[in-house]
Amino acid sequence: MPKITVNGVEVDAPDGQNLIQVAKGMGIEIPHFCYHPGLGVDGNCRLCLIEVEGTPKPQIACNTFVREGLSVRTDTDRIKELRRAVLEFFFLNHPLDCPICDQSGECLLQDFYMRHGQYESRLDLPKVHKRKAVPVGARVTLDAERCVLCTRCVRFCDDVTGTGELRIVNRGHHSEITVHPGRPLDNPYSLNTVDLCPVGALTSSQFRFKCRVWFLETTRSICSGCSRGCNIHLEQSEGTIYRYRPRENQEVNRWWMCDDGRSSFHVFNESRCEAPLAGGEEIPHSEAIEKIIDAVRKARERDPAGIAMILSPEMSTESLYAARKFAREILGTDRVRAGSFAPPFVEDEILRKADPHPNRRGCEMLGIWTDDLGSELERGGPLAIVVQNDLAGPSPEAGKRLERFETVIALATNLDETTKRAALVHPVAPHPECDGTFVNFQGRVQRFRKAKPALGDALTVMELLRRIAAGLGTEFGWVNLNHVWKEMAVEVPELEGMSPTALGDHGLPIRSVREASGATVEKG
Amino acid sequence: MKVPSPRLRWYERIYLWEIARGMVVTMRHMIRNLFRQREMPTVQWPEEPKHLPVRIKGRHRLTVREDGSPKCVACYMCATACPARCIHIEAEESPEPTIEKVPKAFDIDMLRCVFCGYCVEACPEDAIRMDTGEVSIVSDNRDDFIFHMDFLLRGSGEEWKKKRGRPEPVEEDEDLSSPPDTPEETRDGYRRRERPPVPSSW
Repeated sequence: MPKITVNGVEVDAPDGQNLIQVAKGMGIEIPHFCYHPGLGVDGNCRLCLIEVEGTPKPQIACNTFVREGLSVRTDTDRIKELRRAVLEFFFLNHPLDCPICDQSGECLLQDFYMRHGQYESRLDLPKVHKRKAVPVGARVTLDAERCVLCTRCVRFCDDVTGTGELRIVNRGHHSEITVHPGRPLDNPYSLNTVDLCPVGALTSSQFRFKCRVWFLETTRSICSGCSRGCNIHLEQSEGTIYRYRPRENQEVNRWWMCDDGRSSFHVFNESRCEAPLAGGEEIPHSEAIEKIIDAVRKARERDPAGIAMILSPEMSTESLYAARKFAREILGTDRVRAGSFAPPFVEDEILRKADPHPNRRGCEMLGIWTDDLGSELERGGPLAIVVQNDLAGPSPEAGKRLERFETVIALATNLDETTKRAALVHPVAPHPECDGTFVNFQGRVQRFRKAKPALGDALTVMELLRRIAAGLGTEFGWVNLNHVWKEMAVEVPELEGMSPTALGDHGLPIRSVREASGATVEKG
Repeated sequence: MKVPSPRLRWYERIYLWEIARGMVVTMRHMIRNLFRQREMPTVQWPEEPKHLPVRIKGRHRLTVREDGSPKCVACYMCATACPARCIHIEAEESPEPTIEKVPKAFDIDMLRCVFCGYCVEACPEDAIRMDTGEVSIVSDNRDDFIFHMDFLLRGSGEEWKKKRGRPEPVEEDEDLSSPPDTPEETRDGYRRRERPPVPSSW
């Protein structure tokens, strides 16, 4: 690795990095708009100026790459003055409508002005006005006045999706972003342009005016929209989820996520199951637990092997493991199956996967996945415990087959067709409300964290099953994620040597995947 | 630290003399007040109106534009500044092209409000004021304490002054005394910029 000097400090910088990346690694901020690691160097904003030793004029940091003996300074008075001057140009025609701009609070122009600008405005001419609040696509709203013309959005549509909807038209200070006539910004990844936009020029129509960003609390989570398992920042305020933003993970989703995934959170805000139900009537939690215990006891006396536990690929790996153990040890049945009737999604080569379930690979890993859940239901039995799985919603036929069971207990997150048919319903916490992991289609175990408290009487599947088991005389001893992981890491060979801490922010591949990739590396 | 208690005389120790002395003070005030009722500071509220200072922070009101629509642009600055978290706003798109954002709902929970006035300070549009002078907010029902937008938009400081029969203040505060619907330019010399019309092709 070449040795370079930044502000008099010598560092070993990886080859191929530019000075913005090196400085960021050292905790030095070089303000910039147009450069983004996912879109490469464009060099049009001219804000990331640095002084390079041996060069008379300031250079742009984004296009200055690491080389042996390079010495740069980012903190000289000349650089500070130049940054201030460049920022002044950006602000010439920028409207000061921060109070009603959705970007304010996470706007780079605001941040840079506060950190590097702080000048008195010298403009006494009227500002140039452009179009405001224009829908450029089904999900994106454009405010041309706020745009700094960094072309991140243009390059995203050209280079990442390859759809090329956006362009800059006109010259000088009349330049503005626009779409081709009759070709709106409707590609399935269009909302990434909103994340990329450093200012409030492109905003999400769905999130528009819903909540100011400083009220949002951010949690590192995983998108449950499809089997890709994009890493996300889950943002909620007072229990309502407002948006998902992609979180960088080079192995899974790089910097992006799809528009469908971004709207997959509505299910956690709407028509939620909040209280236990018996025959459609709300009952207290303690009564519900007693009724479930009674039902299990009766079914166990008659035909333990006939009891079916229907799990879902929407459940966390820990919940699946807990439910499998519960079925085998408490119910005494081997009929633990996970499956789904949900229709497949559209798949493409960028991120989206056809499989709509975030944890199908986890079900396969635990040996409980079945493609033919219908025939499993067809067999019937004395009792079916359906966990977090709406069988009757996407498949009315499956709803009919549920009637073959004498009693149906649904542990559900939402009120749906299955909870309508169940004799007993107990609410459980969906993934934003509990800790856990999903295994994505690549076999990568990825951790999501609890973003908000469980709604109403809802409990995590782990905790609910522990309480039922305790009522039936067996204490599982699970209190949190780590307790289940201690068992899981021993009993599930694929998870050998892993722990929630070891997974970190970006997850780890399961053993077979790790060995397979390790083998290819050795061969190569 | 030890504080020595005063040494009491024998007549102080039997208390009777001291009680009599105390009663003399009480009776003196009572008899004096019987003849000088006008000067007593007690206000027979609510039968008699209380004369409040001009700048007292009463319950909030939302100011309006000349056409009667709220000045509020739902920027949430008041809700952000509020230490009691008593302001709840829901924003929506404005039907008017020159205005971008308007409140759909603007509720103030008066049971949580601490009358600090930070919302008024924070407002960039002079859309919320606490000049109604209404300080006694009474109800037997919790729901009544949540003031909705339609109620907050009603009334002005002027109406209250007439209703309560407040005497003319000696020193008028310039900003507060001007009627709330004075056009912007004349009040503080600030001109609103005009937006260009949105092209019809969009």
